[in-house]
Amino acid sequence: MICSEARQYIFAFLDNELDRALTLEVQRHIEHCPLCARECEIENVMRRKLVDALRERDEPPAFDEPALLELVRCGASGAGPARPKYSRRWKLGAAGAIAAAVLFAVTLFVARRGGEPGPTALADALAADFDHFVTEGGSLQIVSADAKEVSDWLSARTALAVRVPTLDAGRGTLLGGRKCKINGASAAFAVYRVSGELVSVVALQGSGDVLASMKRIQSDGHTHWVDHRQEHTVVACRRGDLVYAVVSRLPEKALLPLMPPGEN
Amino acid sequence: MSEAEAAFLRLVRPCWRRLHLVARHYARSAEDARDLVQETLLRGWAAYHSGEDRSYREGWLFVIQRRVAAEWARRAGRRVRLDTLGHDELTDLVGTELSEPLDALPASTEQRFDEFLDDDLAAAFDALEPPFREVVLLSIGADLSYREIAEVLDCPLGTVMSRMARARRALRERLASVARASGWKVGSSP
Repeated sequence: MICSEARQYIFAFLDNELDRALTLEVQRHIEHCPLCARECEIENVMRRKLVDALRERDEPPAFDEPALLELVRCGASGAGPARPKYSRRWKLGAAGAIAAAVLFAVTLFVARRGGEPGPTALADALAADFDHFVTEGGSLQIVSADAKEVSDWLSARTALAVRVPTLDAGRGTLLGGRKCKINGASAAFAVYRVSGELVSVVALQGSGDVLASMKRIQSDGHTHWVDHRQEHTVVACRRGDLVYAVVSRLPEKALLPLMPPGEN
Repeated sequence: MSEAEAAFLRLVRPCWRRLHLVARHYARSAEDARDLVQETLLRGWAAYHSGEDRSYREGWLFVIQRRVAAEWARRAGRRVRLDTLGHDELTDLVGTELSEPLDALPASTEQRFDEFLDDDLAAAFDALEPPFREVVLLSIGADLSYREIAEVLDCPLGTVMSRMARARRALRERLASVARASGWKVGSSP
């Protein structure tokens, strides 16, 4: 590939929109062409800064689930002379406020008990996602060894406050990340190479209930959950309202350093 | 809450901020932007609930949002603006061949380059022609794939790729122009 060809694809390359063959061609060209590599770096910085600049703009209203539920219900029933405007002159009568509070409590209850991946289903889904990643050729949406950069990228795209672990030198290398779905729920996926094997670290929203059927272990004063499967080991823990799970073909002992300190 | 309602809200939550970001581009005020998002969600729920559209990919709500913005622009253009230039007109705006070198930016230290971008990138973005601004916003701001953007804009994928490349080049041109006007030395890149 020559420079003029690479220039046509540079933006699509940075946006991860090229097919695998073309991505590799552009990548190979950049590795051997300092000028195009520099242009790529500049555009990458510009892209990152634009993401930050756009995020700092007008703060939207907070995601208010009870109010939105009320909105869609009124919209669905066509109730009232006009649809309620949650963004202006939004007033709830006393009865409406009580109904909203009850609804919110029910919503919390339902969110804790239902709508989350089931305990066995979670380990299955994680293992399946890991296999899918490996067999599809390991396509990442952000390629970086910087844990903060990968964490910020994943947080921005999944609305999860993700912090991927930083490994000590010699223990392994962070390769990058991608957003994915686990049982339909948005999740953040980071991948490492440890002792020559791929290891994924997945973060998703969930209570500790989803870990209930996994084996609970204590290690260095911290609690983790483990599921030993035929071809994979899944190690998980809770951190705030997130569940972190590490999946690999490596044994449990090799995966523990990748666990963030969990809650007991 | 019904399962359908819960599933719909789970779909909306990760898009919430981004829907507002894009709505702000179409709407003339923050309040109109919120109304636009509200209308988008109402229509989205109507389609979801009726089973009319079962392909609930992330871009789906943005498709609806743009459709609503287009209707509002036709009916009462005061609340939203939707500039639809033809492909040829956009090509004229950035006539440079996509294979040509990109405009050089200030030759400086990495830190000063960073500061330059911090000061001027947002303004350069705001100064882009609306169709260019829109495609960059849908990609970088709303994090949609090119394929999803093609659905939102109702145009072929190739058009999105070409428009995106022209938009980013236009952004680069504007930055280079700002740099020259500010007296920066523009030459080899930092």
